[in-house]
Amino acid sequence: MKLSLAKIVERYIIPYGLQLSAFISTLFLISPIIWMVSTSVKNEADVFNRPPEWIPSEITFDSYFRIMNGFVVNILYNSILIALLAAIIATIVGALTAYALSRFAIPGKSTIMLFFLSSLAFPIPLLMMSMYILLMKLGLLDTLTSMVIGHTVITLPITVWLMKNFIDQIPKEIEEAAFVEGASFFRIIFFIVFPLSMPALTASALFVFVTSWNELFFGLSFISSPDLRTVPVGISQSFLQDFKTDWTGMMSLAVIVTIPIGIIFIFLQKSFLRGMIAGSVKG
Amino acid sequence: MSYLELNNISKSFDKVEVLKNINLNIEKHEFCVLVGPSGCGKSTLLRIIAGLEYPSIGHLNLNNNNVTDLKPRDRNIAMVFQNYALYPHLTVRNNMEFGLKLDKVPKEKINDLVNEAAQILKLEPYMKRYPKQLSGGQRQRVAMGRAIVRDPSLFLFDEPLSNLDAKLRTKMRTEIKSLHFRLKSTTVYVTHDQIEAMTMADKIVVMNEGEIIQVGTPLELFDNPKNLFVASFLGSPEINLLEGNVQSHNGKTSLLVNENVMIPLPNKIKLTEGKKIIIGIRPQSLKISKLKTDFMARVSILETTGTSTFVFSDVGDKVLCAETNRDLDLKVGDIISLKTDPEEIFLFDPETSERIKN
Amino acid sequence: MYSLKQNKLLLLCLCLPAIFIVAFFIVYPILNGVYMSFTNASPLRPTTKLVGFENYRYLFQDDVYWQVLGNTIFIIGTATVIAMLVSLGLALLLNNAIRFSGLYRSLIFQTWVVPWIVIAILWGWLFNTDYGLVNGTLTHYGIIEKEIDWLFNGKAAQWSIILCFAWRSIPFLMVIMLAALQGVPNEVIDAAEVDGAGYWQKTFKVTLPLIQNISLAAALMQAVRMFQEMTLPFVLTEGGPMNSTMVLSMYSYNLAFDSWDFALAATVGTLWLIMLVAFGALYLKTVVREV
Repeated sequence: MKLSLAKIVERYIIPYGLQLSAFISTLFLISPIIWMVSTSVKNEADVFNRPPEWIPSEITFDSYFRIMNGFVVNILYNSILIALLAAIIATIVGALTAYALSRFAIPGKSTIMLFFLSSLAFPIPLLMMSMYILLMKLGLLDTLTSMVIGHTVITLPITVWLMKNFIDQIPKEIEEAAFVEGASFFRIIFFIVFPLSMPALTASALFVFVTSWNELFFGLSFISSPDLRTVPVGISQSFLQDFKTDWTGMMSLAVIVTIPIGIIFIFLQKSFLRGMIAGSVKG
Repeated sequence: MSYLELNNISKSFDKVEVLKNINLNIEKHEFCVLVGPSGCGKSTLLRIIAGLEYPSIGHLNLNNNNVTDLKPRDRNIAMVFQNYALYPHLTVRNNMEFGLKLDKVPKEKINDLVNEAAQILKLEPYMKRYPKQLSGGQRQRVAMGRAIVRDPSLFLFDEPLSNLDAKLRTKMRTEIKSLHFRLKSTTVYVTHDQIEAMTMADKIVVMNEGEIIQVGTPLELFDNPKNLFVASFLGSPEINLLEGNVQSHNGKTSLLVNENVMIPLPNKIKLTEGKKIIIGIRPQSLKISKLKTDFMARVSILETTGTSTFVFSDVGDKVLCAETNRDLDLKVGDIISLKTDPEEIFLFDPETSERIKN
Repeated sequence: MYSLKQNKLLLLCLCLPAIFIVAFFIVYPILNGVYMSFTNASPLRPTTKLVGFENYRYLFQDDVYWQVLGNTIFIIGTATVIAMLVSLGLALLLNNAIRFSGLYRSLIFQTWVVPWIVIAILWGWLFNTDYGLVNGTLTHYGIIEKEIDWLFNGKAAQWSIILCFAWRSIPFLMVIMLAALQGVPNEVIDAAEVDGAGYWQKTFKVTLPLIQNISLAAALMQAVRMFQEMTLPFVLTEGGPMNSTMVLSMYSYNLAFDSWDFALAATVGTLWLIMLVAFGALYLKTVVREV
């Protein structure tokens, strides 16, 4: 069999080329993270070695033990609590609203949807100022509640949008069948629509959780007590004071702070992606 | 009083009138089929009977009760949807139990009813499966099972067989009908397929553009269609239609279609000379004559079903269909003579499309 | 079943929480914000009075404002373009049946999980002039002679932020584009093949146009999100003259919570709002094609 050059290229070079490109690109993209983890387990002295060491010659977990203290636990606890509450509230409120928008011919529906979506573009500082004044009047400043409210507010538009797009795709006949069988709307929503919307619910909850976890500025502005600091707030403040040159410590803290979401993410990733894609691609 | 009475029902969606003054009576134990082309309003009417929509005007009585404003659950009806609408996240058994649990029926009774329905519909091997693991026909039976366990006053079917392949459809038709007999139920069945209507119904309601055109038994509608629409809608293959002018000769009237074709018309119907009319001849009534007639045609297509042959032939610019026995020796291109019994011809007024009877 | 008349109470219950939240915490703050831009509001002042367009006039004359605006548009624009190109390339790459493509996709997407604050600090360190990995690698392998001042020198600093934003946007955009690619019906590609199209022609003339809408809409969403982003600039700018990397969001925040000049901050915000809405509308009109 004659193998021309073109055939060789096509059958061998291209597939392997693609494989290699994908591998290298991925590696390149995740390199900052690898560097982060790698630094966190290095010896202090090895951090500045040249050529830069990607895989440490010696691995030590000293820095982890060094930085673990009440402060770290405190900020983790606050962030988890706020993120969980915000995720639950934003997802459920969003889902109920999305159901109403999906199934009922509400006048001005498309305007409402557009408004929801565009509220994401509204400048956050603008939002924060008025919220600051409002919370001040309500006496909610310097509480975890203010954070939960703030995080719910900025994520609600997306959860509504995601869930509505998803629910739009669930055949109405299933709900009609249940209605004919005598089910109330409460039953229909919680026992039929919600179970069938699991991907979108997961995606929403995860999205809110991650957004809340990341959120820095509500925390900086609304909270003053050191005990109530969230992860980003705590890190940004201690970064300036405590960790000026302690790079291994800083990276260890970084890794610790990433782990909670990382774990949840790994388990829910499939569902999350499905929900997010169904929500956005169809929209 | 009839079991189900629909009085002056009209329904509009946003200024579009979908149902216009529907009046209909359905008796107990009747199998009533609403049939018509897409968009005629039959599904909307069914949904109004179910309580999924409310009429803009009019009311309905079920079993002597005015149910117009009642929710579906209070009407004690069961419905089988076109896409079955099974609960995807529940097993077959749970699907069938759903309604009973809502009615707070005691657990033992639920089991009895569900098992009985499963037996009737031969669903026993599938009770623990999920809808997505079932075939179309099986899903359909689960949908029916869900309906029959509740022992409803009325069964409603919304084009349940549309998603099945042809062979399964024929089989399920008989199953649905025999179920109807076995349970002594009253059924309203919606379909666009006139064969389903003809084979299953005790009473057919032909609808078009939001109105009821004609109501009657299958044979009544077949033998005595009120207008062109009903005559064309029922019957497969479709009825043959020809247009022409009335001619009188020696006391006999015929239809002059063109210079080559003249067809004898029934005598007892009085027609004015020269009047333009439309005639309808069913394929079963159109015969191929061994003798030469004034009704000549050229064979264009031959379709054999195995039991009979449909001969399609050209008359002028129209194509006519004649059903014959399968052993006729014909080829495409042959010139044939057609004949038909004048008494079996339907006459229609070209302007009103109404049937001319006297 | 879903008639409005019959289910008024239900609808109210379903929507009420969201309506309440939106009205109270989105609509009111926005309107209040716009109102504030016409006053001299500040938490330090007990009373406020209207000052008309004073704030706007001040801003338009302020060089810093224009510089910040220019920076923001340049940084976000460039970052979005880079992110789009890279994401597109990756999506096309991973769309072929490569072994481990699912794994690669997973890994790339996992980077989104790392909190912004961590990324900000990490980035600050990676690009640190003396100790950073980037300079270290570049100098060690002789690509550059002297270390680049990534964080303090104007242009380079902008590029470090651009790269960070781009890096952060890629997972999201790539996943969306990958999904869109997989939504392209095979028959259409096959038809092009039958018509004689080669790989590049198929890609540029058939595939890309079909995913255009979704991709560009996703890009807009991502750009808008980047506009809001303050964590990175905040961390990187601590302790240095950073006007070259000052972005609108950070600028507005500083005005509000550093200088406590709510009115001016509100003005910046209002202008931002108008800009974004106008741009968004224009963008969508031109970019969205009828499929």
